Amino acid sequence: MKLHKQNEIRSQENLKEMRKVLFAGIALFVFYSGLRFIETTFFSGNQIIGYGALGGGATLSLIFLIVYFAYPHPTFFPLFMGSMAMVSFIALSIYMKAIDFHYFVMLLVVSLLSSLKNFRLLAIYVAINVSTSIFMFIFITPRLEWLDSYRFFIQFMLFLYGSFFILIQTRKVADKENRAEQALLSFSSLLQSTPNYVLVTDSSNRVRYISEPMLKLAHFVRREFAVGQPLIDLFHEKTLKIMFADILNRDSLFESLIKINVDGEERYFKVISDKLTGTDGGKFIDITDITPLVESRKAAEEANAAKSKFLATMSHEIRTPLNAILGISEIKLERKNITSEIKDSFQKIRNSGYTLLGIINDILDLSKIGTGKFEIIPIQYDPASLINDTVQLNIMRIGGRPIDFVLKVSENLPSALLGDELRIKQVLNNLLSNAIKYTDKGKVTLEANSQIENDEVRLIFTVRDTGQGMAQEQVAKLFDDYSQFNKEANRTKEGTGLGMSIVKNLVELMNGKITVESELGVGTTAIVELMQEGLGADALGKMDKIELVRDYMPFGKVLIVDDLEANIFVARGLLQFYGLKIEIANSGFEALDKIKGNEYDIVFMDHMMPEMDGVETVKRIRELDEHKNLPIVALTANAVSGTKEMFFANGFNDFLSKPIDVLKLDAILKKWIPQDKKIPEIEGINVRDSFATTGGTMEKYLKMLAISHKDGLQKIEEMKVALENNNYPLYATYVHALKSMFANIGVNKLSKTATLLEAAAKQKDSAFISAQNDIFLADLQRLLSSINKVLENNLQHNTDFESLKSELLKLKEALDIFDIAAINEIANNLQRWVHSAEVGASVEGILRHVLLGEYEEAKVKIYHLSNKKSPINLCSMPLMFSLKKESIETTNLG
Amino acid sequence: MKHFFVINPHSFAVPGSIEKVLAEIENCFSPGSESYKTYVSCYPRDAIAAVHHHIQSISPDETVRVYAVGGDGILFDCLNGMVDFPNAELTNVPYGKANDFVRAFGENARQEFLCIDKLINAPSRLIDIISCGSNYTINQVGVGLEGETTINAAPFFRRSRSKFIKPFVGKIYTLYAMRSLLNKEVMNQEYQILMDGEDLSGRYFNIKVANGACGGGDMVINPYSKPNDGLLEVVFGKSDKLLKVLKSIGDFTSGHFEKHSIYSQRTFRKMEIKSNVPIRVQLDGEAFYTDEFKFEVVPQSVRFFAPAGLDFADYSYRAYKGGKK
Repeated sequence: MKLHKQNEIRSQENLKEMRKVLFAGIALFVFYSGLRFIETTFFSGNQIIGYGALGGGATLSLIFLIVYFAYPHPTFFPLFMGSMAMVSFIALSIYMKAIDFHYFVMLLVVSLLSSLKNFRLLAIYVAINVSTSIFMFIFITPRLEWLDSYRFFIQFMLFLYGSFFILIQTRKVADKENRAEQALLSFSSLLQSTPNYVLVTDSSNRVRYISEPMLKLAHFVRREFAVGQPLIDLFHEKTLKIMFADILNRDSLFESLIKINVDGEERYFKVISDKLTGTDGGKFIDITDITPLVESRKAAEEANAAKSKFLATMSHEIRTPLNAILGISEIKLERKNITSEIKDSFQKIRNSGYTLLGIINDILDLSKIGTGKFEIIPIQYDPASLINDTVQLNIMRIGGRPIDFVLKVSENLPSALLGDELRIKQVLNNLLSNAIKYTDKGKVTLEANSQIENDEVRLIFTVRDTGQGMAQEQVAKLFDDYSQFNKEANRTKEGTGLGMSIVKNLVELMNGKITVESELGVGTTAIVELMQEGLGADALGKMDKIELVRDYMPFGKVLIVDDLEANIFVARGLLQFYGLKIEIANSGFEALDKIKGNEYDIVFMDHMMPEMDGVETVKRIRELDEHKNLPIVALTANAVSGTKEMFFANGFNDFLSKPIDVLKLDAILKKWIPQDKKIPEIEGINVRDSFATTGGTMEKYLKMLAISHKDGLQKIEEMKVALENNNYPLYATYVHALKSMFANIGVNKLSKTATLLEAAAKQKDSAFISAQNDIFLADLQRLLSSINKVLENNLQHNTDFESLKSELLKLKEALDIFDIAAINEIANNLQRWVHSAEVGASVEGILRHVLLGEYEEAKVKIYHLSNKKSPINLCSMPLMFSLKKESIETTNLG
Repeated sequence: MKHFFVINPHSFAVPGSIEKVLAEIENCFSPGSESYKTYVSCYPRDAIAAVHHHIQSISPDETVRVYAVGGDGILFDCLNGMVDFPNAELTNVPYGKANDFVRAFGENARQEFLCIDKLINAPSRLIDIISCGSNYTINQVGVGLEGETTINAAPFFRRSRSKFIKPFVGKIYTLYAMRSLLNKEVMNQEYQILMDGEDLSGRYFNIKVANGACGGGDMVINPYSKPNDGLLEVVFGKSDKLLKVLKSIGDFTSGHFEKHSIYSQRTFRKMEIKSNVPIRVQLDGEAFYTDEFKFEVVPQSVRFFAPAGLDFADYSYRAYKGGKK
């Protein structure tokens, strides 16, 4: 509707314009005709008028020419063109010796119309003249003499040419001028409306265009006062003059922030300046008031500074009393003459103090990161030492929980790198402490790898645990400040929830990245990648293994000798996981009494005890012949230099300082507890659970392993055959059997896989079975190999056939007199021995007869075997059932 | 001592003349000397920053001589660039159209100043300068008609730098002055003036403040002014009928303003001028617009060096001695 109305208005305007032009055209025609009439009637042949007109025309032309050169303004251009045309016409007229006055006028009119830019009127005027001339040419010139006709023709052509030339050239210039005017109008309106301070200068850096705000800033009330002024004169302060002079002196794009005092108020501006392209040259300057931005930033900086100052003050205020608390606690704890209750209290105070210190440090770190005051300070460090320190610190946190810790360090890790060791430790500490904190049982693994990328080394740490795990939505929020999950379940677990936020910030500050994957109920894996500057150092090589994989030692027996219940409590707590039988003696005298009447695998002896100290006690123990070689480990808080040597010199076998390092304790136990007192670890088997399942006896445990081994091998073959025949039901049966076996010996992972395979077999899901069966069988094979190794290690190696014969003869004697106890004992011994396949089969046959009460048949076989002379080759054999039930006392320290 | 030559190229209309000056400068120093530097001005007021930066780069214990090579305009720029530095000295090598301040040393002093070698080791003396708002000027300030004339004439002189124009500079200014006379706003402008505590508000067509006696190229407008007397002279031209003013212009420009009652002369140290209409001002030929102005003499504040043997001329003989019209 609006467009239609606009078109209507435009049409009406055009109509008005056409009417004007037509009227003007007619008026011109009349004027021209009148002029011609006057000329022919009154002035024809009059030379004075003619020459006068010639002179006048020439003068006018000259004036126009001078004016145009003096003021080459587009307005004068048509007059200039007209003058040139007139001069040409004058020259021709002189040559032709004939003056036609009216042509001057005609060209003058053309010029004037051109300068007025009324091209429509001009076009009509020219058209009328042309039409008239053509009319005359056709109808009148034939009546004229040849020369007159020729002259007329030339004049007419000249007029025609002159007019069109003027018209076209002037039109071009006018169009250009129009466009320039339009552009200028647009730019002027932009300058009026823009809120920015805009300046455009000419090549002399005088103001050409200036926006309204800039005008006001320079205290000009009228634009015309500013235009033409040197730009520098717009500014009153000398510093600003110099500043803008420096800006104007630049040839390329310039950007800067400046401060200007505006009406007594300090304001900040962003100045952008650039050279203008084009022939005119000059500069474009845009000044934007960014005072609000600067003020907000200042306010933020002030707030940050205040915050930092507050935190620094608070840090000092909090740390000072905390230091007193921790210090006094440590001092008190060093004392011997305090009751256990007081000691316990101070320990709790100390622990709480350290926890509080950790929280304060976390908060301060996060604050520093937030205010950008956290610096990464690269120094040369030893990655091995870093890893070791971190592990040592965190392994203590495991305490008595059934958590295995495994460290895997790549041999290619450089031995020296450049980075912020302190912050890397902080990251690892956080990750490890979280892994240990949220894992109740299972395994925590730390892997350290590296990749060399030009001059840098990508350090990759992977912390893996079998803890609680997290749901995906929890992982997404993991790095949020104060994020803690399962608060109810983890209410006993300390922490502010800042750790992972700090870790992420630290990693990012070190230009690294961290990724976390987790599965609820399964565990979490955190991978940290950090780019460190390589120093061309050699590779680390094999790092000492740090592993805390506790062997289960249910048959071991230890004695802890200490007069302080707290120490006993701690030691017992650390030893309980090993399944050891633990006895306590509160003094040297008590220890002597117990040792005389019992057999211990290790004695942990405190040094400082009243009445008889540890050294004296050991001296007396060594006086007992049967206990000359009893392993005695000094357990002492006295860790000064030379103490260790003193203990060794006084009969101790080993040394363990307090607080007890669990790794060292583990090493001591592994060293001194006999192998046969341990239940060896088997990869893939939960030894503790399976041992408990089989009745908690070594005998039964090993028997179960042997049966499982035999059954496992058999089932592998049977399953292969079933699959070849596509007998899925049979396959399912075999897998089901394996599933039960796995459950018995505590093989959880394979048990789960077996369940899935059983279900798939029942569904005849060949695709699933094809994908999983080979992997399952390979895992099973590996498990059976591990079991086999254990079985080999726990069988009594006996390569002496004569000893076997001797044992067989003893069995025969026992069978003869029906000595059941002796028969059982000898049969059990024979089960542990390793025999060749042939001998093993014979022994097996003998024992089977013994089991079935077929004593005569057994004696026959004993006779035959005893008379054999062939050598014995060692091999493994499955164990038979135990004929005697054993029980082992374990102390449940829960 | 260091020497810094600031050259206005627009003062040298004849091709090759600037090279001659540069060669003359070079001849004043030993080959390869680092004690001098030249700077050719590229646009108005760039010399302010150039002089400032140059002096700033030199130890404050060393004297820096600034040579404004050109007219009053480049002298104005150099003065504003060096004014904050106590170790700086100023002079003018008069290649400009008027160079009115040099005439303060006498009508024939111009030739002496053109000899650069006479300026290198010339003695210096302390002179007064005029502080006007945020600028400083050395010779004269014209408010009102003079300002308007300068503003109107400036575009013509920027376009026409032909050497042939030089002899007609004064006449051309007069033509523009005639045109400016027709500006009623300027001719009847109301000013609020506070001069050394005295209120002299009123309508004035022209206010001339002078430190030196000469102006306008060949005129002596304030014959009593001396650039080192610690005072400024002001001539107020009261608004009146156009014809009356027109008749008085000639006497005014020749220093005989006292002939006419529309003029009054005072001596002062500090003056504040305000107006509701933009004030047109010229500071030694440089045009400005403002709505308020503060003039103040800054006595003995700049060291100006001139060829040996020259001193400030006494133009009081040019003053009118007769009665008023």
